[in-house]
Amino acid sequence: MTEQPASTRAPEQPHAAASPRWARTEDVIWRRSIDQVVLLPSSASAAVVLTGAGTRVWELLDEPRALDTIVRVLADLYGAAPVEVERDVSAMFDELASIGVVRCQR
Amino acid sequence: MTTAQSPGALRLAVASYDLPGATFPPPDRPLDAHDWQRLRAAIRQERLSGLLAAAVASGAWPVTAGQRNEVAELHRDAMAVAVVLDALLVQLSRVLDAANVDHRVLKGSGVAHTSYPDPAWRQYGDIDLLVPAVRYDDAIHALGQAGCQRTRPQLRTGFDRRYGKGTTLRHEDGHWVDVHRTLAMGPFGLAVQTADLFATATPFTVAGHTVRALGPELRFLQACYNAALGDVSPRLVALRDVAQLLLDHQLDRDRVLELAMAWEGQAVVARAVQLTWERFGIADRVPLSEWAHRYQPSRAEQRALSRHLESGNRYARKALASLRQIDGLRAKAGYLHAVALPSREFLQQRDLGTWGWLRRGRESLRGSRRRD
Repeated sequence: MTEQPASTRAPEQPHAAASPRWARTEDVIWRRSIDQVVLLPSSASAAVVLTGAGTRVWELLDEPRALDTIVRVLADLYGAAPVEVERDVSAMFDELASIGVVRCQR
Repeated sequence: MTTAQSPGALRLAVASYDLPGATFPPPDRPLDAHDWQRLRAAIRQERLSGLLAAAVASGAWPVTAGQRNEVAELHRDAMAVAVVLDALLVQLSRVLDAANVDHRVLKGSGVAHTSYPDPAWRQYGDIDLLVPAVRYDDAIHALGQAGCQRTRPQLRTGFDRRYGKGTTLRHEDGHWVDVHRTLAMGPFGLAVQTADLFATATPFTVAGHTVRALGPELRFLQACYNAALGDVSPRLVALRDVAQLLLDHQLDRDRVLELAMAWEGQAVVARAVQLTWERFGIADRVPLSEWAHRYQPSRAEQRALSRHLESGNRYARKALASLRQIDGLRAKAGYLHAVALPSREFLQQRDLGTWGWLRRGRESLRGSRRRD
């Protein structure tokens, strides 16, 4: 599988261990394509494409991670306010969860 | 570019990207619009978008912003097909598991997941499955119930199971599924001891389901058969598979040669490796490439190879050449009967009567004798 870039690697912080973690679902089929990720949800017949920050988020899910860990990495990476990033990433996770490619582990 | 590279050299630079010892370098600056469009068309045709995308992503292949977007689009479209095919592969593998039919994934998906640094490097457009000869009809039946139908009837009932390379099925969603019994058409395919193909496996996981590719040595041999016998002018992706397997994996050389000898396929392996090394200009030598360069095919092997390659789609010629590999008078008679007098269903599908079929076969043989 594609190695994630070093800039987006996110060591888990101890305080995040108890938070719910987001993970890729086991049955999603995907490929990395330059700056995009092509995903096939298990119930779909056509692929979905993630671009931009969505690609970074997918890379960060190489292992289950807490939302605040992901938010911190993206806020640093893009120089954005964590509150805004959290709002966008939460919305993205809701959308990805609705098509069955990620799930929240509580 | 500091020196202009021909369109062929640029294609080879893509096809041999990241191979140790390959001598076709990427350009040192973005191609001009004319050269880029030519390359882009060739990449699409040769199914090399994964290698170009990898080269662009790593920075090894310089591109303009517009060219980067075009590569991304080309590769995205190819990967959108690959993930759908992988989902279908899982579905069909489960069907075969449920029917207790052992199977191996060949070629595209089989090598993408087991032999490349990232499966996204290897583009493919169909599914190739290998099933044991003795379960061939069961496999076709099970896959038929899962929406895969033959596109052509077999010559006679049981022909594919006993003598064929395989058959092509079309899934109801439009994707193609090749179900193989052996590795090649004609005498080389008939000489393969098909039970050997199931002796080892390399498992990989797709969508949580474990499927099996051939073991490394068998995967290499399959790549050689595909490269050396598949097309008169082998496709670059087929040669890349040979190089990828030979340079990236610790193959058991003795096992490869033992199988090649048992299958009377040493000339096939030598030809595939020689073609790959010559085409990509690979400077590095490994034990099997050393062997291939030293290998001197016998006259009989040379004749068999040239017959195979010259015969193209001439079924009658391949059919006659195959007869030597069929053991037993009864089996030979069954084979000849099927080839000479196919089923009515087979002929109807080709809009031919028995006489038309025989005449076509006779003309094919005459044509080939004239060239001998």
